[in-house]
Amino acid sequence: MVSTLETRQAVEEISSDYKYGFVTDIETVKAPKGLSEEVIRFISAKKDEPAWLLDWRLKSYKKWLKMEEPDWAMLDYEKPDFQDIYYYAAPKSADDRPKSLDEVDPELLKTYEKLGISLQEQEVLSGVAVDIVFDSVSVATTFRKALKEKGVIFCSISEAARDYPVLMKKYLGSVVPAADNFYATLNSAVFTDGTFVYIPKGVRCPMELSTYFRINEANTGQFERTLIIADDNSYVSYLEGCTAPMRDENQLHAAVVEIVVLDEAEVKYSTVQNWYPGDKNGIGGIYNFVTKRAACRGLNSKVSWTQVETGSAITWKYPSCILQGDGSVGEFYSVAITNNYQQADTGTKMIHIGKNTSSTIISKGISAGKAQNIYRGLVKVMPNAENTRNFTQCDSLLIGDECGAHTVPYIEAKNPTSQIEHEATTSKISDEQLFYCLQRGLDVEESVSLIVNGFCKEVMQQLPMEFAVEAQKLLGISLEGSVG
Amino acid sequence: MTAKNHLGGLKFKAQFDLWGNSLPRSELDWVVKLRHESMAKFLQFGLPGPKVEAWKYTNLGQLNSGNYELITSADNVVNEMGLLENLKGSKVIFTDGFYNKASSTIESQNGVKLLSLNDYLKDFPEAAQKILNKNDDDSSLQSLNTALMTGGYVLFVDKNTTLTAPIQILHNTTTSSENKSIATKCFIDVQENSFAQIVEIFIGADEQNYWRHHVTEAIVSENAVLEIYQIQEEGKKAIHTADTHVDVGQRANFKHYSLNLGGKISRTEIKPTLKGLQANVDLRGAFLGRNGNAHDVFTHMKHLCPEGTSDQIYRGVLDKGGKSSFQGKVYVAKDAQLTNADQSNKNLILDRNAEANSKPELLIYADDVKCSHGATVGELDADALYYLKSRGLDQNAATALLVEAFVSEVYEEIKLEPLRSKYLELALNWLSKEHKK
Repeated sequence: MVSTLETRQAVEEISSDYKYGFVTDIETVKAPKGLSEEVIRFISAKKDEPAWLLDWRLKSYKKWLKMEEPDWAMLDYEKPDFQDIYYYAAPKSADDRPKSLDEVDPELLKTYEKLGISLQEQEVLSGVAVDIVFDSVSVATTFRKALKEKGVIFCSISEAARDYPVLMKKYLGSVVPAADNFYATLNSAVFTDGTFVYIPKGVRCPMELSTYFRINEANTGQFERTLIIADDNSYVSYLEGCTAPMRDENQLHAAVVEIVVLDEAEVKYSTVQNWYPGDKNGIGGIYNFVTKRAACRGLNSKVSWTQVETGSAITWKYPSCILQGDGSVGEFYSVAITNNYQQADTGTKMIHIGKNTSSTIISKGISAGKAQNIYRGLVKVMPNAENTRNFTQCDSLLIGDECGAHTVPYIEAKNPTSQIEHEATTSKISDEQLFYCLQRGLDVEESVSLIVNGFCKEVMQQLPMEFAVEAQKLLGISLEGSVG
Repeated sequence: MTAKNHLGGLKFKAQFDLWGNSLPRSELDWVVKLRHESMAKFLQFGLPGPKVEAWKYTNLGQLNSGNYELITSADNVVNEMGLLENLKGSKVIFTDGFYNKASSTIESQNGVKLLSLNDYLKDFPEAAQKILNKNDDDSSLQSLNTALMTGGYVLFVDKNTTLTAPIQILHNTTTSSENKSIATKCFIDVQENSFAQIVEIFIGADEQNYWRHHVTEAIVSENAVLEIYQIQEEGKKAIHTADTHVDVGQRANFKHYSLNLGGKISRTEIKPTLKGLQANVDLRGAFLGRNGNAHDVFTHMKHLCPEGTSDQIYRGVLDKGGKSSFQGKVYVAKDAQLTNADQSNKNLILDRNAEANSKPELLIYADDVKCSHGATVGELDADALYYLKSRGLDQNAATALLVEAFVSEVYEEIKLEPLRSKYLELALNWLSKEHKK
């Protein structure tokens, strides 16, 4: 977008502060800084984990020690010092868990209120069960009862390790193996908490499951691990949302999400990611190195990833689908917005293995300020994947002349009956569109937000109601400080 | 670039130590020095391995493990294998990488200087040093090419000069090419308001196992036009790598057509840099592969100045045992506003045992640009096939017709007539061979 100096200034004035930047003052229990076998044993003991899980962690740790941090992404950042990170921090009251919301630390509740996710309100009004991860330990879980009636298991992963060892042993690491990649392996060694979901055969989960993440303690790595299993003929929609307080130091976030989908089942996974992106000068911000992968193991199984990525200083994230089952379907809808000095290298992988599998990729990248936004995606068709169908569309929007938008798709086909299409465009907000909006009385900021929302419409439509409103606002907020 | 993930290259070093002093122009100290420096530069990295991103789909392991020897001389006997008869103009023939004077005919024209690289090194040492010592190699293979070069040509076209006929450059082989590495190099300088067309043919026998490595460095100055037409019909066992680097000036125009048919491994790299305002580059090509052909087309379009336009159209057809990859990168620098860059790569897979890879890449740092790319992989349209069959064509004829249409899109706008029909004829021959199987 060719902009005038005035609009830049006008916009910069509005954009000074990160709206969700505040720190809650709650005492936490920490493991010593740095990573060693002792720290892993400490985490495991704190979590009261069975021996097999500790073994699994230690094996991962040993593998991790031999691995090298990847450098193929188009990202420029200072590599984290893995010995300068706290690998465990739990709210102090964790040993004595609250029985109901009334017993929850009031200060914690206030934090949620500031974020607009009051538990009571949600419990009563919205019907969304929230498993809140506040610095790594689940503090409160609601609606568990209603879910239990249906046989749905929705709990923290540490609980699952204790209570559902059969499922955990069978599926943990079965989609993202312990030694999958540098950050996933690190996560396997040190994951502190996360969510476990099991939807039994034939059950349609009665509500949307949601976890709000918060990183709160300075210098704490957030190593979440999520495992979702959808058994035959089941359905679940899972929401993941993140906001994080203002920080000056870079924080590392290396999560792993594994999804297993069996015959005729469907999982919809939606993310709004709004970790602290760093300030206007690129200082601070979260490093978000996430491994997300779904295995469609069953016949006609389906996974749909929807993500709205607005936060983080560095994003490295490729929610993927392994389409093993015949007739399985993978979808990836993504909006990635980068502003100021943010860098995002994100996309997806669709691996077609089964027959008659199909995948859709819609990616919208918006780059403003001095940011770099990269779509990187792979569509791979194995020799036996008959009648595979893929459609990919990657559109990039550039706002300002100091940012970059890049597209790096990989297409690898080994079957003659496959049909793969890829389209990509890069453009700016046209002067005509902007003029039209301004003429109707909108200011520059509103106009840009409106146009960008239009640009992203195909993806935003995929978001569940609960997220759609928040996400639309976020698009606007994220682009503050860019140019009109 | 880091040395990590590169394969060694010590076998080439050993060959160089043995035979380096027998390479052409070893009587000139500066040439010997240049060769040694280039060899050292090559060894910093060695051959690119499959973990190097740009070589993801092509494995040069065979170059590293095979014991390719240097070729230091060739007999000057007439060899016109592969020559296009119906093309007027100068004909420059390289046999086994050496200038074949007996077979070549150079027509003189005012303002046009066309001579063999080795003559140029001897007769114009100062100018030659200037060109060769630029020290801007962007790959280790380019450095190796300088270290081992056996021959090549130099073409200068003065200001306001239009070549009266295209120049035909033919690279062929003899039985002496067995197990040899053949490195050729050429320089093309088309000055302001001039026009040049070059037809470059690479051909070899199926029996010989050789590595042909060809590097072209070209400059197209203001308002000038350079068109390069390449046909690659190397032998079945050959490894063929051809790099083209070209600087395109203000309002200059560069066109590159290619057809890849042969070779066990063929890699065509084209790297145009749009250095002037409103420069224009068109790249067109097709690759047809079967029976162990692995075609790799790698383009890197660098838009450095405003208002440039570039367009790329590549078509691949893969039959039994064929493999291809297309990697097309478009880079738009921060200052290259109002750039318009398009790219399209479509691939047809005709057989179960075939593979097509495509990696179109956009790297955009300017905001007021229009850039797009499209890539598809698929089989022939069943409806179209059905339509033709219902009109009485058999399966093979219907397939051939559709594939012909698919490929001909690449060459339809060629105005140099013998070339346009040659391209289509070669593609058709390839298709008809398919149906004999």
